[in-house]
Amino acid sequence: MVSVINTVDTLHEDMIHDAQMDYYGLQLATCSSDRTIRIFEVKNGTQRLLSTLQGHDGPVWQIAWAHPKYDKMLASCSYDRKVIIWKEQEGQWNKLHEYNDHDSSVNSVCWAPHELGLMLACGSSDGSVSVLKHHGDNQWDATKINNAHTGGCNAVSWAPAVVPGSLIEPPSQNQQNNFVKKFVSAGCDNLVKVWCEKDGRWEEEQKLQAHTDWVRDCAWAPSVGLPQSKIASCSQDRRVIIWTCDESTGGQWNSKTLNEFDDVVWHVSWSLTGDILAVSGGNNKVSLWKEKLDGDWSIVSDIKKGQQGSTE
Amino acid sequence: MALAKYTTSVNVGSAINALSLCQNSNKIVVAGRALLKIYEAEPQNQLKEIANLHMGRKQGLNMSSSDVVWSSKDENLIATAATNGAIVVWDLNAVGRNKQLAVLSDHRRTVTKISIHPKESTRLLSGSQDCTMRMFDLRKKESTGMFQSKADGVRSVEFSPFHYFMFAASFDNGSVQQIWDYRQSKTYLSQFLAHKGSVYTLNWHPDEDERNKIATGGRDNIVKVWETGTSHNKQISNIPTSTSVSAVRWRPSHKDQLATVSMMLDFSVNVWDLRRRFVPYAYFEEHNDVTTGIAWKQNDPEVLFSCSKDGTLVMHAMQDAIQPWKKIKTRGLDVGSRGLVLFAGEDSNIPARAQSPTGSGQNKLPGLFGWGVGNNNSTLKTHDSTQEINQTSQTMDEIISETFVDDGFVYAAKHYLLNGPENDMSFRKLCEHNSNVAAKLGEFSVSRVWLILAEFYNSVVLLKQKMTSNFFPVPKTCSDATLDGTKRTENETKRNSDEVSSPHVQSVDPDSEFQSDEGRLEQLHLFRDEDLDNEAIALFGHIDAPSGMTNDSEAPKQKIITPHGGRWYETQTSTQDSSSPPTPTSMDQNSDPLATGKKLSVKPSVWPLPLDDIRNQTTVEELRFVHFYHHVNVTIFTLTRYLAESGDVQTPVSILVAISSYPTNVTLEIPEAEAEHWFNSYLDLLFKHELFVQHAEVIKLSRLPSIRMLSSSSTIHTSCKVCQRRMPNSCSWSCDHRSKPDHKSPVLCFLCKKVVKTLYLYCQTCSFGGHLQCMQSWTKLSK
Repeated sequence: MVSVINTVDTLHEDMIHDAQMDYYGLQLATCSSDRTIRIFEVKNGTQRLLSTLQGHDGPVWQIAWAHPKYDKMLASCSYDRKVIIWKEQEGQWNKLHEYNDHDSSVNSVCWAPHELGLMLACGSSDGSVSVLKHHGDNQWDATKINNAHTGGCNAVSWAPAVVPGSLIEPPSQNQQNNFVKKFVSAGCDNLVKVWCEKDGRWEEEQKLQAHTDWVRDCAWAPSVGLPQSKIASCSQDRRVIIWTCDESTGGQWNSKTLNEFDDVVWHVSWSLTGDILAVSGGNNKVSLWKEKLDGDWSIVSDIKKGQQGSTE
Repeated sequence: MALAKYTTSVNVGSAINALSLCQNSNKIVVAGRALLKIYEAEPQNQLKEIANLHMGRKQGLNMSSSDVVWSSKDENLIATAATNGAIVVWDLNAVGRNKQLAVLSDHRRTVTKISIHPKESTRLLSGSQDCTMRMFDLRKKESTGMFQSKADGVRSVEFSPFHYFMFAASFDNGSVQQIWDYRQSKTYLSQFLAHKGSVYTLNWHPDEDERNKIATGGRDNIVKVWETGTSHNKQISNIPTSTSVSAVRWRPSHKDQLATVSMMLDFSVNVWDLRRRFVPYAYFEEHNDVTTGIAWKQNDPEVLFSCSKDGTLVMHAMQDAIQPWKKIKTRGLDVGSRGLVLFAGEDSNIPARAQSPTGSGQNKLPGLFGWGVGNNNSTLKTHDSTQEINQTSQTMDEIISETFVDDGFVYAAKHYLLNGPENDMSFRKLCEHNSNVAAKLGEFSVSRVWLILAEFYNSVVLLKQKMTSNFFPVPKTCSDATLDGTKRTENETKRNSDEVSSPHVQSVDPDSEFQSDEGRLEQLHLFRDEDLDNEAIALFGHIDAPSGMTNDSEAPKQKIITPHGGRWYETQTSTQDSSSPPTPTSMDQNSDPLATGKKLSVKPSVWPLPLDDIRNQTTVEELRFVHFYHHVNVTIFTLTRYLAESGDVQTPVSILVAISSYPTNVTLEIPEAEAEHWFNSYLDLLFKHELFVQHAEVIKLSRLPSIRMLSSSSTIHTSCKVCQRRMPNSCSWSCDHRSKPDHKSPVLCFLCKKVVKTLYLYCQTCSFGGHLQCMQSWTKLSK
C-alpha cells in the first residue's frame, strides 16, 4: 500500500532538484534552483523549517547526508561549480568546506559508506569525477578523475563497503578490514562506469554499455554481503537497466532491462534493504519495483503525485 | 539577410571593447584600443571583414575606443567614444581614406557610453566619467546640451527606442538610475535606487509592447528589470547572476529574455529567462577571455553577436547554445529508512514547459511529496489522503496537506474501533480499520501490527460465538462427512470405545498441565462424569464459552472433538477409579445401543493405542494449527510487551480490548498485574486528554476484573451545591445549613432555571447541571 502521507511546502522560490531524508528519517533536506538548501524537521505528518542554507551562487542540484556517526553533515553541489560541505553545530548550519576545482556545474554528490571514512564523490559536467577525503582537522584532499565521462558526469553512487559474499563466506582474518572501495558513475556518454581504487589512484574497472542516450542516474544497491552486486541505472532513453555481477562467476556484469517507460526516467533509488527500487519518471510518477524469485522485476506500486497509489 | 544557423567566429586581431550592429544587422562594427573594423555577416555563415577604419598610428588616443555605436537610421554613420574623452564620428560614405566626420572633445574624462537617437541620427548622446552627459548635434558638430548627473561618473546612457524625448542613464555610485527628458537639461524626470555599487549597463526593451521596461546590471551581480512610468519606477523582476554584469541586452521579440555578459571571471554569454531566474536559459562558451559586448540581431532573435578581449567576434546561433535546463534533474527521489519514498517534482507538466520556456503558462513551482509505503498484501486498500493543491501565487505553490491537528495519541484514541461486535465488524475488518488509522498517523509499525493480528486471529476471533464450530476442522476420519457435529461426536466416541473395548472414557480431569500444553488458546475442559452428565460424557473436550457468555444456549454447537496430547490419558487412568459405576460413553444412550449393551472391562493399559489412532486419523494440519496458535500467542504477547516497554500503551491496550470485545476465548498470557498497569496508564492518558467516551469504552470492554471494577465503583455522594458539604441522609435535596444567608438562593437548574429539588445531575468537569430530565433532553439535543 502506497499513499501520499505528506506534502511539504518547501517555500522554495524555484524548482526543487533533490530531497533527501537523513539516516533516521527525521530531517529532510531539499535543494532548489533558488540557490538555497532547506532543512526541515518532519514529525507526525507536519514539518518545520529548521534552517535555510545559503552559500551557493547557482542552483543546487543535489544534496547528500553523511552517516550520522560524523554528526550532522550535508554535502551539496551546484551549478556554480562548487561543492560545499555543511555541518550543524549547536543548531547552526555552517560551511565546513568548499571545494571548487571543477570547471563546470557539479551535478552529483555521494558520501562513501561510513566504513571508509568521510569520503565524498562528486560528478561534474566538465566530465570529471573528484573524490574528496577528510583527513581530520577539516583537511580535505581531492583526487580527480579527469575525463571520466565525455560530455559530463550526471551521477555517482558508492558501492556498499561490505565485501560481496562475505555473508556466506566470512572473510579470513587478514581480510577483515578490507572494505570495498568502489563507486559507479553515469554520464552523457551513455555509459555507466565502475571505478575502484588501486594504490591510491582511481581506475576504471568496468564500462557498462547498454544505454542509448544520456544516463541520468545510477544507484548501487545496498547489500548485506550476498555474492551479487546490483546497480540500477536510468537514462534519457527511457529505460531502467539493472546490472548484476556475481563475484563467484568472475565479476562479469550482466544487464537486464527493468522496463522501458513512456517518458524519460530521472531517478532511481534503492530501498535500504536493496530489494525495492524506486523509479521516478515523467509526469511526476514514481513506481516501485521488486525482484521476483525468478529474477524478473515486477511493479509493486505506481504512484502519481496527487493521486491515490494504485497497487497490483 | 543572412540566416545564420550555426555559430561562427572570426578573429579580428586584437582585443575588442565594443561592437555595434547596423540597421539591418548584417554588418558589425567592432572597436578596440587600436581597432575599428567592419564585418559583414554573409549568407554562408561567414564573417567577412569589409572595412578597416583604423589607419596607421597617427590618430593616437582618439582611437582608443571604449564604445562604438552605429546609427540605426543612417547606415553610414558610426560614432566611437574614446578613453581620452573624445567622440569621433565617422561617415562611411566619405571618399578616400579619411572617413572621420568630426571629433568632439567636450568631455574631460573617458566617455563610457554613447547613444545615437533612434529616429534622429544626428542626435548623439554621451556619458562620461566626468559626471556629465552631453547631447551633440552632428550637423553642427558641437555639443548642444549638457546634463549634470549630480551623482557620479556616468556608466551608461541610452535613448529610449519609443519615447522620443527620453533617455536613461546609470552611474558609478550605483544607487542612482535616472530618466531624463532631453528637452529639460536642468533636471531629470525621475531617479531611483537601482543597485549596490556601479550600474554598468542598462538597456531599454526593444519591443514596442515592452517600451517601459529597462534592464540594468551592475557590480552587485544582479540584473534588475524596471518598469518605468511617469510617476514612479518599480522593479518588476531580478536575476541573480554569479558575477558582476557588464552588459545586458534584451532579446528582441522575447519579452522575458535577456542576454548578459560578465565583467570578470565568467567568460560566457548567458541568456536568461525572467520566469526561471536562477539558471540561465542558455549560454555560450566560445570566448576565452572577458566578453565585452553583445548585440542581438534585431530582425532575427535567434542570432546573437558577441565580442571579447580575446579578439574574437562571434555570431552565435541560439540552437547551438548550451541549455542547462536540459541537463537539470527536475525531480528528487529518495527512499528513506522507514519505508518512506520521498519525491520532489514540479507540479506542472514538465515536457510542455521545458520545450517552450518562451511559451506562456503559469509559473508553476515545485512541491515536495512524500509517500508512505506499507505492505498490505491482503486487501490492498489505499487510504484516502485528501490533498489539495492551490496554485494561487506566481511565486509559490501552496500545498495544503492533511494535517493532524490533534497529536497522534488523541487521533488514534478517537479513531480506533475497539468494539467489533457492536460495530458489526469482523475482526479482520476491525484490524484493517485500526491499521489504517495508524498508517494515517505515519505509525507504520503499529499499522503492521494490526494487520498481523488480523492475519493471525481472523479465523479465531469471530463475530458470533456460534461460529466457533469452524474453529477446528472436523476430523477427517469421520466416516460420514455429512453427519452433523453431534453425530460425529457420537461416531468418534463409539469407535474409540469399540477399539479400546472400554466404555469408560468419560472422566477426564482438566488440569493446568493440559492448558499449558494447548497454549491456552482454547481452554479445553474435560468433564468428570460424576454427575453422569450426558452432555459432558460424550465429549472428549469442548471449547469453553468465554466469560460472560452463558453456556447452555450455545453449548451443543461447541461439541467438537479435539485431539490433544497424551497427558489426557494419564489423568484418565487415575480418574478411572473414581468413576466407579461403569457408564455408557455416549451422549445419547438410545442412539448408541452398542456401547451400552457391551459392558466391557476397562483396560487402561490399552489407552495409548487410541491416542495414536486419533493422531493418525486427525490431520496433521490440525495439530500444526494448535501448535501455531501457541506460537502466535507468545509472539503477540512479546510484541505487546515490547510496545508497552517502548512507551506505547495505546497499542497493546487497544489490541487487548479489541480482542476481548469479541466473544472469543483467545487470551494472551500476559500477567494480570502487567496488563492492569497498561490499562491504568492508558486510562489515565485518556482521562488527561478528556477522552471520556474512549475511557468508558476501554473500561467496559476490558476483561480484567480490576479494570471492570472501575465502572461499577460508583458511590454517589450528594453534596450541597453552595457549601460542598455532604447532604444529610434525612433530607437529600437540601443542606443542613440551608438557613444560612448564603444558602438562601436555591439550587437552580442550568437549563430550565427552576429550583432543583430532587436529583441534581451535573458534569464532573464543568459542573454544569440541573434536573435529570433537563440534562437528558439536553444531551439528546446536543448530540
